[in-house]
Amino acid sequence: MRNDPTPQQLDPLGGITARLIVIVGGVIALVIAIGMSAANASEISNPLLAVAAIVALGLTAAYFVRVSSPYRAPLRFHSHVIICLGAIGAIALEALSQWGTNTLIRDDWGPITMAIVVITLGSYRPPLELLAGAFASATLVALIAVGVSMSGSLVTPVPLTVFIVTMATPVLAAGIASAAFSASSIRSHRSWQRELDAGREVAPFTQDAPTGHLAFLHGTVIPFLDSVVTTGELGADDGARARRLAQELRVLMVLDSEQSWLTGVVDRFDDPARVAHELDSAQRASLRAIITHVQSSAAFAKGTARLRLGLDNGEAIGVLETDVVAVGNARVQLAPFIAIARRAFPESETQLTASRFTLTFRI
Amino acid sequence: MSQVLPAPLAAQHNNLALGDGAYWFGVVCLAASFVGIGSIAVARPGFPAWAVFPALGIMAIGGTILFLQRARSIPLLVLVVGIELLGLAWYAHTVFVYQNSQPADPRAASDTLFITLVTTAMLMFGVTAGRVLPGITSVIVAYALATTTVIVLAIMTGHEVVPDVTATGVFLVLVLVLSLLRVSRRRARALEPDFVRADSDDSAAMVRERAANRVSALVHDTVLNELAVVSTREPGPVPDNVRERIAASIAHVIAENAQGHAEVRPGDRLGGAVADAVDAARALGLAVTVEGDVAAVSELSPPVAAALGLAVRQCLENVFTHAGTDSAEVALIAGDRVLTAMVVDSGRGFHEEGIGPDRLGLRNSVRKRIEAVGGTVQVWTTEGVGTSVSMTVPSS
Repeated sequence: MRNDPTPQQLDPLGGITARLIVIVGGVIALVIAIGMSAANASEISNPLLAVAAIVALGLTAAYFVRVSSPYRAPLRFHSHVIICLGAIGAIALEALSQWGTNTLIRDDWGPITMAIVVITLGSYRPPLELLAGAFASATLVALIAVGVSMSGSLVTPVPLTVFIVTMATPVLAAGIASAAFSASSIRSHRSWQRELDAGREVAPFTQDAPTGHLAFLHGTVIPFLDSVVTTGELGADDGARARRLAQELRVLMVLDSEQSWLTGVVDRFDDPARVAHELDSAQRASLRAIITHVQSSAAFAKGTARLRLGLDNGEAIGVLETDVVAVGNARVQLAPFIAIARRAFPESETQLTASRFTLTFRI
Repeated sequence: MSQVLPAPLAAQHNNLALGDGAYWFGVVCLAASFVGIGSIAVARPGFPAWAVFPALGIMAIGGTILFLQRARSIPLLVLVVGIELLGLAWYAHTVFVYQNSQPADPRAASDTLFITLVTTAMLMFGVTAGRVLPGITSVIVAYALATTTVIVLAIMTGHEVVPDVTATGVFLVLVLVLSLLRVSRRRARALEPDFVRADSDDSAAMVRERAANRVSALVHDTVLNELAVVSTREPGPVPDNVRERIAASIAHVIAENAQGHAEVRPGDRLGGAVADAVDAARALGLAVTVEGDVAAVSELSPPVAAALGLAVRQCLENVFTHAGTDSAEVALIAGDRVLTAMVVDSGRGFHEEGIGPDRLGLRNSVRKRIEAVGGTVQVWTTEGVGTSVSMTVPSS
């Protein structure tokens, strides 16, 4: 369950799309918490705990914004747990801040704000985990509701079940909704991928002029052999010429076989251990995209992209570096490329300073 | 493999997932209302809760119809709206009549909790309806109908009209989130052409490498042997059997080279007007690569295929004339009852708003033509980086 693929892993750009909602949701939750605390100030018996509850909610929202960054993708299981516990902690602190003075549960902000925060988790975690989290969170919130009802200050003449329903419903509904969102996203993505694989075309057509040994073969060797076939005679120099052509052809074939697909893609590259051939298609395409971007974007210095591939204790690693001109633009522009790169290279690290961008990855 | 989900499909998947999530949110709200009112009914035998449960059931049925609906059907939507309003009116009437019968408890008389739960459920079902009615219209309609019904029922039963702050808050948050999602999706996927191009370049490079490797192996087994034979023979006539072997080796190498290129030509399976558009652009001198679900073009109805072909032709002509590049890619992506054709180039890009009145190609030949057959057009362009025109049309 914890290691199941998530919508963010399958579609990293979807994770970036959802992040704006995470940020806006966090702000809305904080505004609601502060607004409702002010509106129901008469129900607060411990202002310090009321402030602590808002701070806990703010920290939870800020943590969610941080871990949903494409630079830290994917959002992990432990982050899901921390977000849920943080929001439940805020609910508990709010309940304690109104201990003995809380007259109505339905004007408490805790469950509503938790619903706003957790509903966006659907883009970041697998459905079964979200479902389990929803039921676990709702159970803890129900226990808090039982505690609040035991404080004896509630005035609404309804059974305990209604208090539990009032507090737990937003959390449970949001959690189940996020699980359904996650399941649907994953189902749709896999269906698309299956269709893509089934109808895959081998490759685009590109009629390039032959290069390297093929150019030599078609331009020199085959015409020579053809002349031998056509004339049916060997001249005095033809034997020596055939030996020379064979030798040159062998040299060119060896040189061509040592060429990497990175030739012409990046400004400079070092690959003494010939690691480039070990990259799969997703990794190659991801590197191509990011290299092409840093070479064409005004945020990076032209002609400074360098890729080093090699072995580190027997493990293949790579380092892509380039000089930065405008760090603010670079960070925003790079986000989609980093999100995709982190899917292709799960063990990767990004460093972006005012002067340099470095992507280190394990293959 | 394809690195990114194409933007039109991403929007479709996102809409579907939002609809699924909203449906379950609504169902939980209805279930919570069922449990809450049921517990009150148990505690207070005088409360006619039996009248509420069928109403909740009717609303759940309406939501489930929306959940199962995959294609737009206006009569079915009207039926669901009727079912939802009937359920809500029935439910609100029962709750208001009960609250009116509790004059000794002013809080119970004004409590909107159980109305909030069903109004929220209806709003969520509005989001579910958004799968077949794109945009936020369905949510606005759901909120307007639910609120009006509740107010009318309150007035009819003599109940105090209490503003439902929570349901209104949920509505506003939904409208904000749905609007922001569109903006956020556009921003996040603005660089999609770069990924499409990288995929395409990588596929092309790998095919070239495989073809070159095959020819190299053949060269090693044939041409190098023939050169060795020639190098060891004395000058003079070449025996017929040697000439025939050399001729056969040359023919093998030439045939293998031709096969290497033929194998990587998916455009050959592309038919109809789109194929004509690609051929016309190639005739202009533009190197056009075609990839994706080329067979899906044959599933388009003749008018849609013709419109798409002409639009693709215009896009490729635009690349040739204005983009300052000699190559372009056509990617075809088949979705659920739709086909998306993307024309991608790495030329100079442009501002769509800044196109002069004399350049009507994108507006008329592409956008209007595609929209006329029920399709949509999206353009991503960055100056100095390139342009991607995505055309989504309905498939049969």
